[in-house]
Amino acid sequence: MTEPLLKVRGLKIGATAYPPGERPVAIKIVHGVDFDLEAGKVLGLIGESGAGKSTIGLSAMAYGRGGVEITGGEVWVNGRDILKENLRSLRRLRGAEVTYVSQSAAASFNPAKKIMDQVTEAAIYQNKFSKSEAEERAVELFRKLGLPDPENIGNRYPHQVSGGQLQRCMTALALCPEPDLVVFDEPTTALDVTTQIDVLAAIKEAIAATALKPCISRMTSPWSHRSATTSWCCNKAKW
Amino acid sequence: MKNIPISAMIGLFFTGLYFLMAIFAPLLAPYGMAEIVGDVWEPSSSQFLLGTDSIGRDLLSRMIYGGRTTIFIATAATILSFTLGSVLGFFAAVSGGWVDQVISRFVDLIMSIPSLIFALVVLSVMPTTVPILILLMGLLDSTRVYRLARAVAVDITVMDYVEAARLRGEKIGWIIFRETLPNALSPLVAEMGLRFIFAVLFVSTLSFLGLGVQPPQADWGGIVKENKEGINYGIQAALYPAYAIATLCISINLVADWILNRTTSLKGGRG
Repeated sequence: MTEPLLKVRGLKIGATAYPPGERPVAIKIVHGVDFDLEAGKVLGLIGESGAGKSTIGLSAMAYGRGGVEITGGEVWVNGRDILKENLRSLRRLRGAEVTYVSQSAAASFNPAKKIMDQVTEAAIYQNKFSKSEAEERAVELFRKLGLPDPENIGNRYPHQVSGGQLQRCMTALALCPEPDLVVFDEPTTALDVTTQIDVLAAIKEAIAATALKPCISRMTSPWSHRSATTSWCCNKAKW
Repeated sequence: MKNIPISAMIGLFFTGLYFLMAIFAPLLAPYGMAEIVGDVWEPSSSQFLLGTDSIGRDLLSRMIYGGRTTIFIATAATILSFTLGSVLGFFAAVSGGWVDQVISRFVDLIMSIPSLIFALVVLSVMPTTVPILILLMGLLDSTRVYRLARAVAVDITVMDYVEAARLRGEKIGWIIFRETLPNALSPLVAEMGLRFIFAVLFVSTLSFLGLGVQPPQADWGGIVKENKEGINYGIQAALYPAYAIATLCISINLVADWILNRTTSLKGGRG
């Protein structure tokens, strides 16, 4: 059996809570989680609100958001325990091997920069592609994701496209540097049902289309928490 | 040009007029600034368009030179306060923690002293020269700009794209100037118009109290002071600079409003 793309063993995540009028207390968010994800597969993470789905997802980039800390366990990506790596090598991992699609596209794009610059930024920064190659790739992704006018949509600012389109732009952003693993953190939360289907179909198509390229042996893996969405697009779901 | 609303056109016209008059003062003024050319408080005539002042200087010439002084000091003080206030405010918001606490509490301390009293105390000790006036007004106003800049920036620094920039290892300068500043620009521009007007009023107040621009140098507040006794005799000389200050303030506000509207629509209503 080949080594899985992502291997999580006994992952423990904690945070500090500040109850009013009391001393800060350390609380546990994730109590030891194990799972494997093989290349080319899609794994869904399901749980109620506040269960720690996003937190587990971000741990695949060895990142804890705002005061959250990974306290124990191992996270193996491409055969390396990334929790033991230093900040500098993590920077090479994030945006090159693992990318992230956040919950709210509107808060994640910088309103003052053009979409194209932001979509290609990681790919150029990580030296994966030259500027012109990255832009070509972005246009191709825009086309696959069904965005209108793919050649020119990159010249718009984030507020000049609709919410669903922006969400798809962010998917393009995550796929542009050809990562091995993509963490989708509820990529359809803010959208209405019909747009959700569009976006999921576009993501599925983009995954399939990218997988067909012979240069990529490993594949992307979305995470989502809605059971309906999950059953529709995941090969495997984890409760 | 077609899309400029009429209020902004009026504002642009008067603002432009005052600034051009300030720049080309020596070419436009019919007489010298401190030249005594006629009797005391002569009425307007073809020789002296606005009449003469309390010691017989041409009022129009003094108004033009005075506008130059007032506008120059106010502009310089506004630029200083904005550079200092917004850079410090962004720095505090991006750094957070004790850095933010130290700067913010220090600014609170300065703001707790009424700025006019603060300025009067400082100016009674320091020599009243133009550089000192600019420095003092710029520093006092920068506390207000700091408050606004910090308030706007704390909202921006928690956004995902700033977080991503930090994780990428960007330095604080990049986060301030590339991530925060472009998104904080529109409220700052609106504030800039307002701050400029406050600076005009402040320097006029100081000159009226005798602690601002010193005679024979003319400035609008100083002209009001020199000619205020004339009002008792029905002489308008003190009112012209007041009209000038009022029209300048209103026209700058009209322009700032227009810029604010334009930039907010550029950012999809975020302001």
